[in-house]
Amino acid sequence: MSDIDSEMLEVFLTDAEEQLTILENELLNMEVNPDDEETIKTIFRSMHTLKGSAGFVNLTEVEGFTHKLENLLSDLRDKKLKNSPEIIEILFQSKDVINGMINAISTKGEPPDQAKINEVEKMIHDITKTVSPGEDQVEMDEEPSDEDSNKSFFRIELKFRTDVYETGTDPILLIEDLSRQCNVISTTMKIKSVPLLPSLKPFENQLSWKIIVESPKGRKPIDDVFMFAAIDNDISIEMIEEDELEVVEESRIGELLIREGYLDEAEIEEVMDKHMKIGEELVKEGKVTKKIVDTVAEKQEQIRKIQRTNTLRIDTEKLDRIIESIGEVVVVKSRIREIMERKGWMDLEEEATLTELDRYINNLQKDVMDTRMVPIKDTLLPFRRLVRDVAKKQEKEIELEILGESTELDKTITEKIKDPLKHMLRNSVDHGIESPEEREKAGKDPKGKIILEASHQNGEVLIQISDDGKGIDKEAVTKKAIERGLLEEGKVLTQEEANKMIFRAGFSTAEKITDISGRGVGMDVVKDNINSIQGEIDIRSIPGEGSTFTIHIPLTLAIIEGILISVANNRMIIPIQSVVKFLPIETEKIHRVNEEQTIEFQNAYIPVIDLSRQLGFNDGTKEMLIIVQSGKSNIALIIDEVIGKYQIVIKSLEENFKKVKYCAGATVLGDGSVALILDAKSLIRNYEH
Amino acid sequence: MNKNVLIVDDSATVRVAVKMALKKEYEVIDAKNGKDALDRIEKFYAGGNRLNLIITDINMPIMGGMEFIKEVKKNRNVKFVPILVLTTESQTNMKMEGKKAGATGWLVKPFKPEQLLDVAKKVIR
Repeated sequence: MSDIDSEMLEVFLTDAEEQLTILENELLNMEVNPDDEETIKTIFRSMHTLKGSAGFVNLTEVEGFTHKLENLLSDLRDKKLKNSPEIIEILFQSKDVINGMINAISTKGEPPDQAKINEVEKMIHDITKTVSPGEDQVEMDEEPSDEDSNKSFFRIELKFRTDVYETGTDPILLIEDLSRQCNVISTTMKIKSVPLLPSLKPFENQLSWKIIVESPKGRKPIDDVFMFAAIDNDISIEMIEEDELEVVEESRIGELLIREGYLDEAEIEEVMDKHMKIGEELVKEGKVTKKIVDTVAEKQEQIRKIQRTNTLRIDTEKLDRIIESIGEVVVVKSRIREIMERKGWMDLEEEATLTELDRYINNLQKDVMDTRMVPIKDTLLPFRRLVRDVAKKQEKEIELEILGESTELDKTITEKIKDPLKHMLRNSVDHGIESPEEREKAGKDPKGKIILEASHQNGEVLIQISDDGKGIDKEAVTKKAIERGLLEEGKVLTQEEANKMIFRAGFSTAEKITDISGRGVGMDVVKDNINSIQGEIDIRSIPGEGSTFTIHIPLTLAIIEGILISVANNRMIIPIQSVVKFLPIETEKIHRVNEEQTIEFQNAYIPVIDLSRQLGFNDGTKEMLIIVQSGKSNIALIIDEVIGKYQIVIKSLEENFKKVKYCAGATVLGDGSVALILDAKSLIRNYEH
Repeated sequence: MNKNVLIVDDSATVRVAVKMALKKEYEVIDAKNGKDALDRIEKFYAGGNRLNLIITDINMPIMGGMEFIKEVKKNRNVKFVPILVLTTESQTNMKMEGKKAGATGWLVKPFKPEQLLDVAKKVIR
């Protein structure tokens, strides 16, 4: 396979994958609205695009199969065929067949079974046959007859429309092309209809031509030249006998002058040449000066310098490396600032230069970050099929609505939320939405609804999964928790506690292992996965009305902003999204309840934790309180000092060290020293447990 | 002197095929649909460039080929730029429709690179 072929094939595969996703989503839409014209049109278009693309990479199998489907779809579109669940099923199966064919090429999977292909083809055939029997063959262009394929003479008359230039057709170009294909014997241009200069419209054509040619290959090359123009212009091509030629030849003044001996060929050519150069002609006529013509010609040159703004595919790993390097640059920049500050003074020029550097680095960082942002659409849309399949297996009727699909977030995060979201949706279908009978009994629409919505909020991405199912049943959860040994016998959970319980390790309400949720991943795994990307998950549930899971995830993981603090001579970073407020410590405001300290904050009492003790450090000066937040919970940490705001690149500790409690990683500070990044979330989680 | 071609097609495969076929002789820019193409044209001309040929598919999402051609004909910058319509064998009527809308010619998909180059040369000034 040549490079071009393999490159084309790669493009085709991406292209095909895109079209197949569209196809599938639209098929799901079609199931809901079988007669929606837009949906049918989109499906048709996507099939058509697929067929066309397959032709370019010589995938005749895919091309042939999609062609048959295209017929079926055009019958649907033209309302020759009434849509039915049967047809939709055929379309779904066809999609799977095409998917199989394409996966086989990309060696992602086994090619579909030939018997399966034949079966689906037969179904398509049987359905379309009912409408238009024998309409399988495609219309072909009429082949021009071969009667005058020998060397012969033609008289060509060209009368173009006045607005011919607007159709992109240039008569001169056609005549030039003609002169390459045939031997032009004579050309006569009629200028009679050309008006005088004041009323001449430069964008309109008033010329017509009569051309006599000798064509060595008959009529075909001439037809080819005018194939486009002949449709909407008056073009006649007529074969003539050799003896008709002389009369025509004599009508050409130049030829006549030569024949009569007044001029010779060289003299005629000399005059003709001059006519070709419009600039010189205009100068000579005194219409413009030579200088103007020269400057315009120069401009023309400049205009041709084109700007390239094509797109480029980049390996995300390369982007990661760039981001990492930018992170290092950020660190070195902070270091320069620190070194200069240590000197005790900075002059205006140094300060200005550093500020400028800051600005460029920020822009650079923002631009590179932007390249990593992708719409969440590609992650969310495949779930429609998942929900459809799971619901169908369980004989439930469920509609999945996806909102905010254009919300953008870091590519690596989209990959990491895919699995948690998949499990949550499965759970919603499995345990959230009731069977149609149960729903009807409860006075609900037998068809359940799940809404999957993504949005941006406070520099984070918010993903919500809401269902209108039975909600979290606190009695059932209590019972299960006791069974699993997570709760003491005799205790009763509140709704809030029951909601939290489902995230506990070892708790899974899955009664049995269904064939869809497979091993039945518990919500604890989902929560861990989301926590591992600095995300948070919350649930709100109203019994009988449904549940809403809310996930907060950061836009990106590569560079974060943090507050540098000091605790007992140790420096630590707290990610800025966790920080709510700093306060100087006022001992009288800290209340002691049993062994625990609390402080009033926003009309609630929140726990106060001595960070140095929690981390096993010596006691520090303990001058500040910093309030940190995770989900809906706040806690106050006693620290020594707040140093400032920093941009940091997170370095994972686990690559080289074992996991440190309450630490999300480490970073290198401006002075080259290392600071640990405080994981406020795990601190809060630990406290709550 | 560079000559510029714009290919408008929702299939990346076709866009790449056109680029490869024409890249020796022309600079090729691309767009995914009519609307995208109009934006592209505006920016391209704002950058001081000119187009010498537009190749467009008919059946595209957001803005299809016919509507796009009509818009091109209303646009002072590109009104006179030749337009080739990409059709398939099963869409013979599209040739006429395309001509009526103001296209210069057509090309039947799938085409060989040489075919495209030939046709492009026929209409590029």
